[in-house]
Amino acid sequence: MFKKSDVVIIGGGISGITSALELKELGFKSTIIEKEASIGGLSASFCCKASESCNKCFSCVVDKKIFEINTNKINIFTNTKPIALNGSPGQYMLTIKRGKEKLQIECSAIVIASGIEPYDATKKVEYGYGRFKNVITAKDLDEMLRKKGTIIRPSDGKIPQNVAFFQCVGSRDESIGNLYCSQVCCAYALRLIKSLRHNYPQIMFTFLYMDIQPAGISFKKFLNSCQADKGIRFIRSLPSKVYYSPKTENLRVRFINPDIGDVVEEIFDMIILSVGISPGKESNQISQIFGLSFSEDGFLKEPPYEKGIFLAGACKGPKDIERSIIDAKSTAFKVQNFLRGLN
Amino acid sequence: MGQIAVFIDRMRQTIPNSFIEKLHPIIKEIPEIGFISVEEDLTSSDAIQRMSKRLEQGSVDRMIIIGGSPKNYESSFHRFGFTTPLNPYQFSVANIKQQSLWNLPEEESLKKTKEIILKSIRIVSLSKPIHTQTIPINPEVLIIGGGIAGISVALALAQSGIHVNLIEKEKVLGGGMNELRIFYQDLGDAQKWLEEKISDVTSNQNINLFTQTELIYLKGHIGRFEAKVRKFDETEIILHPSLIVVATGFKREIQREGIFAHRRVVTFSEIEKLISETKAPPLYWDGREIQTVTFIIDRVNEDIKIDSINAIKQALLLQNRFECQVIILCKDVKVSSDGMERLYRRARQEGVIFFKYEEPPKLSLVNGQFQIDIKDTSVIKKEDQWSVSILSDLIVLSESFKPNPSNEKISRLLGIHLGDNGFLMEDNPQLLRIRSNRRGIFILGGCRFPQTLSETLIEGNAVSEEVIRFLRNGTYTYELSVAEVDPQKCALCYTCPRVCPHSAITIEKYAERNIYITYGIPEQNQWPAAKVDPAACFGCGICVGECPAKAITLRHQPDELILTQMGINYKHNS
Repeated sequence: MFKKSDVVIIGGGISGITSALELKELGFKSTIIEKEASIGGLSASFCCKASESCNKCFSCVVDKKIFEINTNKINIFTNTKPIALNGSPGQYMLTIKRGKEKLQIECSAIVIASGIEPYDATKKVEYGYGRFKNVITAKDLDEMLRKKGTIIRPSDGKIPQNVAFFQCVGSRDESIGNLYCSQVCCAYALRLIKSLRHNYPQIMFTFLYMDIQPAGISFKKFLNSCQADKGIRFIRSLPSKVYYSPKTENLRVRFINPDIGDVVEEIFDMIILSVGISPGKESNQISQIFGLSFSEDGFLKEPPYEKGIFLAGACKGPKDIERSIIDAKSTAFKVQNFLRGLN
Repeated sequence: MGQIAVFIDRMRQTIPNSFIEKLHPIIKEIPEIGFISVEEDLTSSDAIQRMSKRLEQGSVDRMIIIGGSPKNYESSFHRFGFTTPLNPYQFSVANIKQQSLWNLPEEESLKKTKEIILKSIRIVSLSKPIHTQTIPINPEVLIIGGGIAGISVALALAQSGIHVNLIEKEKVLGGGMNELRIFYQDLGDAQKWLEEKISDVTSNQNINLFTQTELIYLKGHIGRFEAKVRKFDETEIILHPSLIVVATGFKREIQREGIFAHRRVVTFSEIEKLISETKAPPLYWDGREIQTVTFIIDRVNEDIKIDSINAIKQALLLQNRFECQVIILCKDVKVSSDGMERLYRRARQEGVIFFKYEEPPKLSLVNGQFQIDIKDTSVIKKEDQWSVSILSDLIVLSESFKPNPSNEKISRLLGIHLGDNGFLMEDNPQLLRIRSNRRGIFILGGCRFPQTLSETLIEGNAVSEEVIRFLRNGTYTYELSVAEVDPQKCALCYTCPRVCPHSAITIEKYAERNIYITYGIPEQNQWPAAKVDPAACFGCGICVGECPAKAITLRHQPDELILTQMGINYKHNS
C-alpha cells in the first residue's frame, strides 16, 4: 500500500500530537506513527494533581489535546513502527510496518517525537525496587491514582501512614552514568505529595532530595506552601540503602539526617522512587533508520535543517509537558518554514 | 419552525427492544417530529452514513438522538466525518441509557425516559442556529519590546512575509541580552551572535523598526487593533496591526546595602563583561589583582535558574583562563537545563568549591579582603561542621530579577492580566505560556518569567507559529457562540467591561436612546452602550451572570435553554 502525506510524525505522545495539530492549522497534512495501541504516550498516563487548587501538572491539557486529535481528521497508524527510510530531503519514502503488513508513505519532512522512558528503577539495586513490594516508582503511584483513585500499600492494600519520596533516582547519578538532571521530577514529586496530602491528611511524607530545581512562575509559591505544611518533611540527603522487614513488610531506610548530624535509620511503610527520565527504548533503532546522532547524555541530537528531519519534545532532552508542547509548536514552525522553502 | 429528526440508538442491544417499543407512542404524540429512525449502533460508520443521507433529504432542521452518552457520538461523528446540513447547535442527545435505564426500575425509568426525551425536544426547539462570521485580517503585527524575544519573533515573521512593526523604548535593540557575553553551552561569543541578529532586523524590508518609541494607546480587537505609538521626538504614529506580541522583558536590580556597597562587590553583568574583555591573566578590578572570587547566589530570586547557570559558567572561566580560585555559595545547585549537570561536575573537578547554605553567610572586611564565614554542611557529624572562613578579593552578587516597571502600564493599555508577582499574565496551563487572556495578543520571554535564552528562542518560534496560523489565510473565522448586549437594556454601569476576563467588552456609541438616559443631556444621534466584540469573546458567560439589567445574553445558551437543561420549566406545551 502506498500513501502520501506532507509530514510523517514518529510518536503519538504529547509532542507528536501537538505537532500534528499545529501542522494541520498551518495547512499541512500529517500522519502519526505510534508503536502502542493508542496515542497519548507517557503523558496520557498522568493523573490530575490538584490539591485545593490547580498545581499546574498539565494532565488536563493533555486530555484536551488527545480529544482534539481524535476529532481532527489526522491519519494515525497505531501498533506501527518505522522500518526504513529512502529518498532525499523533501522527497522521503518511509516504510512502516503494522503487524505483518508493510506500508509506504511518501512525505516531504519528518518529525521525530519518540519521547522518553521513565528510568528503570531496578537498576538502583540498593533501593530494592522489584524485590520489595512496598517500594514503587512515582510513575506506578500515578497509575495507581489514575486507575484506583487511591494510594495503597501493594503488600496489604492498606493506606500507608508514613511515606518517603526518594528524589534523583536515575538522574544526576555518576554511578549509573546519568550525568544530567531530569528537570521534571522535583516539581512532579511535590505535586503528587501535595495532592495526596490534600486527599489524605493523615499520611506523613518525607521528601529526600539533593537540590530542588525550580519549575516556572508559580513554583516558588507552591514550594513555600509545601514547606509550610507540617506533614511534609524536607531532608537534604539521598538515602544509601533500604532494608526490608518481612514480618511487617515495612522498610528501613538508611540516610544522613543533617538536622541530627548523623547517619540514621528510619522506618517507612511505603517508599516512592522519583524516577528520572531516560532516553526512549526505541531511540537506537530510530537513530539508525533516520541517520541521527546522540548527545552526550544519550538523547537524540537535532540533525541539520536541510535534512528535513526535525525533533520535537523530550526525545532531545528532558522536558515537562508544558515545555514539550511549546517545543512541538516551535518544531511545527520550523517544519512549515522548511516545507515553504524558507530557511 | 422546521421539524425534528429523531434517531433512536439501540446501542448494540443494550437498550432492550421492548423498551424502545414503549417509547414509540410517546414520541409520536409530539407534533414537531419529522421522522423516527431506529439504528442498531449509531457509532458505526454505516449508521452514520445512513443518518447523513436521511438528513440531507431535507424536511427537518434539528435533530435529537435517544441513546447513550453524547461524548460517544461526538467522537465517532468526527472520526467518520459525519456531515450534516443541520446547524451543530440544533442538536441534542437524550442520554436515557445512563440517566434512567441503568439506575431505575422499569416503571420509573419509562417515566423518567419520557421526561428526558421531552427535555431534549424542548432544548432543540429552543436552540437557535449559530453561524460563523469571517473578518479580513491583514498580515501586520506589532511587537512591543526589542529584546532577544522580540527580535527572534520579528525575524521569523518577516521571513514569512508578514509586515512587522517593532517598537523598543531604548536607543538600541537587544534589551537584557546585551548583558550576556558568553553562551554557557559552548562558551561562544553571545554579543557577536546578537549583533548579527540586530543587523538582520535593521536591514529587513518587512520590519519597521521604531527605537525610543513607546505605546501610548490601544483600541480595537483582534484583526482590527489601532495602536498609537510616540517616538522620542514626540511625534505620534497610528498603526493598525492585526495581532500584537508583547516581549517587554524584565529588569535587573541590585540592593547594595552595608558591605554590599563596597566597590569590589560586583554583579553578574559586570564580571561577565570583565571576563569577556580581559584577554589574559591576571584579572584586575578596582586597581587590584583578583585571585579569589566568591559568588553568593540564591540571596534573591531562588526560583530562577539563570543565576546558577551564570555562576557556574563564569566560575569555570575564572578558574581556567585567569587562574582564580572560585567559591560558590548557594542554597540549591540549579542544574535543570540541558548540559548543566555536566558543567557543574566539570566546575567541581576544576576546583571550584561549592557551599550550600541555609543561613546567609556572614561577611566582613579584613585587611582589604572580604572574609566570608560559612558553615561547612557537607560533613555528616554536627560537631564536625566547623565554620569556614574564606578570604576573597572579589564578591559576585546576584541581581534580583524584577518585573519591568512598565508592566502595569502595559497591562492596563493592552487589557492583559498582571500576575500577583508583578510579571505579566498569571500561570494558566490552558494558555500554554504564550497566549494572553486576550485573543490576538501573545506574550513571551522575560516579561512573563525570566528564563534561559534557549527557552526564550523556543517560545519565539512557538509564538511565530501561532501568529502565522492566524494570518495564513488572510481571514479569521469564528463561531458566533458569544455574548450579546441588548443596547436597549444597557444602563451603562460599566460592570461588564470590568468583569470580562478577555477584555472583549467596550463602551461604544452605537445605540438608540433608552430609558436609562436621564433627561437634560443634549440629544445625540447615537448613544453609548456596552458592546461585545464577537471576535474577541470566548463565550464564557461571566458578563451574562453579572449584568444587573439582564441586558446580556449568550447566543448559544439563552437563559431559557439553561433553565430547561436544569429541568426547570421543561414541560412540553403542546
